[in-house]
Amino acid sequence: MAQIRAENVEKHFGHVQALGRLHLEVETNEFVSVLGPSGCGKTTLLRIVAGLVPPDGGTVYVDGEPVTGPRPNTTLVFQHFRLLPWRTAEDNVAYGLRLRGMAKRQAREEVRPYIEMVGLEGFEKSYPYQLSGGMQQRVGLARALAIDPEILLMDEPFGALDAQTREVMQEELLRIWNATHKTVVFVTHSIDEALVLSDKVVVMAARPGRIIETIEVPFPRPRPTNLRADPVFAQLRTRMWELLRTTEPEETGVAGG
Amino acid sequence: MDRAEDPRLVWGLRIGFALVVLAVWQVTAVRLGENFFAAPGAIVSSAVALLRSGELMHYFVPTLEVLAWGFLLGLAVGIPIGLAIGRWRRLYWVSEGPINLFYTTPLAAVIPIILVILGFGTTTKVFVVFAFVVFSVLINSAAGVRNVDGDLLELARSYGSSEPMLWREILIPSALPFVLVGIRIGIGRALIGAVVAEFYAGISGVGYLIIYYSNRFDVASALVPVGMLIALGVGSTAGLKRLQEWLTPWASEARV
Amino acid sequence: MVGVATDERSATGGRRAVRLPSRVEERLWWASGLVLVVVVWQVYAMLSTSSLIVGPWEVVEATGDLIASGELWEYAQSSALSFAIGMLIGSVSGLVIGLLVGRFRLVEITLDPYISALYATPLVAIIPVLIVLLGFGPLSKIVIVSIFVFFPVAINTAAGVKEVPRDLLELADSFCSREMLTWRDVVVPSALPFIVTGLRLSVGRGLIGVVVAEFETAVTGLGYLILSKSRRFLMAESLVPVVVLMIAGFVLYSLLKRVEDGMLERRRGL
Repeated sequence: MAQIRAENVEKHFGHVQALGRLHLEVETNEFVSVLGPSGCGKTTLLRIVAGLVPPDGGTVYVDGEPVTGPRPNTTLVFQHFRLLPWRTAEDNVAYGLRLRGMAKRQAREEVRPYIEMVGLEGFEKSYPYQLSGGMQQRVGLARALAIDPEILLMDEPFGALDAQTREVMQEELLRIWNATHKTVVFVTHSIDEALVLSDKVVVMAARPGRIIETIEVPFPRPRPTNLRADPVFAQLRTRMWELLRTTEPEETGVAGG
Repeated sequence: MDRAEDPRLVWGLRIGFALVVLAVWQVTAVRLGENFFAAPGAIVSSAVALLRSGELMHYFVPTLEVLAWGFLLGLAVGIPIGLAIGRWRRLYWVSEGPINLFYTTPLAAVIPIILVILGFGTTTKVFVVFAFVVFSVLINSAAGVRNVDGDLLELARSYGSSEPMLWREILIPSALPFVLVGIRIGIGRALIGAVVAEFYAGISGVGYLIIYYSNRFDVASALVPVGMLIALGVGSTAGLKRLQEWLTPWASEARV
Repeated sequence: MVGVATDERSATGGRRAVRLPSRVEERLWWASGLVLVVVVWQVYAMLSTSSLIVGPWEVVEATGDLIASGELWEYAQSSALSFAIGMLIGSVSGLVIGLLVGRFRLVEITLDPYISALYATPLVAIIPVLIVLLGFGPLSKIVIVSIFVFFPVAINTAAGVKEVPRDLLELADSFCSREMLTWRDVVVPSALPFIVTGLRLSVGRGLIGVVVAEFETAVTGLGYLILSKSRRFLMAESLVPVVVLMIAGFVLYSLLKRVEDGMLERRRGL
């Protein structure tokens, strides 16, 4: 049975239908990207799965249970990192454990492997303002991993990074995913990113937000770094590009996630 | 504009300016009557005399006591209430009108009335200082909580934070820079409250000393306690800035 | 990201729509807060046995009396005149110094520590001294108000000038704009909201200056009215000028706040 199952999920904001009767299934340990233009409701979908926003209609099931609020086995990674400015990198990583009642010292011990996993050694005592964007998101990622969730929901986590850092972070994420095998829902508007990372790409269109196509990504894992040179990659890329283009984004001025 | 200036130039200009002002002041005062127009030299000799006789300290200590008590009371009441008001919006709505009303009232105008009602003792002065301090601390504490980044609140929610942990990890650190600003403004207001209260209440404190010498047309002596208050104001503001840098490094560094 | 923010806002809005519209609810709570203060005050005054504790109703009655006798008008006029002239002198000089400090680095280096230091000090302390020097007439009051007003205006003006976007200054330079024109087209307009902030903050200080000066000179003005009535234990009458000052301060403050918000709004619209 699918670990995440969204059935007939609907969401309205005023008169705008953000999501219309949407179905989605994500298997355990599957890496699924949700790809779509700005304002297609992909972030809203993620927030509903996370239990942060209730749907107006339909239900999301995680492990067979309907989602009614944030769940301890699900964590979010945010586009703009959302680190606590007043906590050092290691204390930010320890945030989730501290909330679960762990003492500060013990939490710092516990998060050490995660700090190493994301490559933050030497920066434990730095404050977020002393770190680059890429390093900040490493903290965000380690924070999410540190509570050892089954499901990682990632909302354009590399969207705020420059192109080069972004590719480095994609490789890091692939490596980490190979080591931990979480179930991942990864929201992005980058075709390349979706193809490089996922087992499955869900392509969405806007007004109302809906899934127009689900594409299996055939590349075996672990994936080579020169995946982009693969002719199949180029084919899939073109196909997704066509899909996104035919669903022509909404009129200008409406920004979105 | 951001390049570091030669410190010799900086201090040369500053000290030079001060010397020019003092020189003009001295010359004018001597021409017009040294005692009445209090030349800098006359102020210095008055200061020495007041310090030697112990008079200055005798009047200064009660002022400090009044300030300390009123100020601490103001913090003890203003910070928790302000934080609570910032967190619960109904509380904020219901208190916003009265608080702004009291905050915009020129409190100094009420001092004679308070003195008549509460008497001319130390308690009254402490109350006046308290009243001057409490609103700025309260308003800024509330603003600090209300200004918390909504994204961080959502982060806490997504991690299933309890209310106490929300305060500890997010609300209080986020409000801290605002609370410190409130405290800094509060110190300034506390000094005003203490001095004006001492103008009219009893025969203690630097405020009284200023009135005493003014009424005797001894301007030089009257300006000595004024100078002391200036030092106190500048000192406490500078100290608070240090405290701010030490307590909230993320807030000051981030602005660089 | 913008989309996320919008989503969030409408998400909470959606949930709230079931209840009372939140603007209406806010207004109701707000008004009940003010009513509560008046009611508590009145009840406390009625329960209190001390003749020194007066309620809002007695203050209203006393206001009527003081208006009828012409006393209030006479004293208020005297205060208002000194306040207005002091405000004018103080803000113009604060503006000039603030512009110079903000625009010229050498002026800033020289003056900034002194201005900040004096801004941080309780200037009320010099009032008795100034009165000894300048006498018991309106001159003292005007000078005191100008000094009180000078600092917030100067400091905020300087801050505003320093906030002028550098690319705008470069733009002006690239058009070989003369210094005077740069001031007119770029510096003053973009510093304007800050200048208004300075004025807004100086209203309260100016009022304190006038009142304390009038306590000291004890000749005329609302401050003197407070002092003389309270010394004769006419508590209700002594509170009337306080209310007048409160209203004056509040009205001026909100007016300037509105001007300021309007300016900032227009800027954001650009």
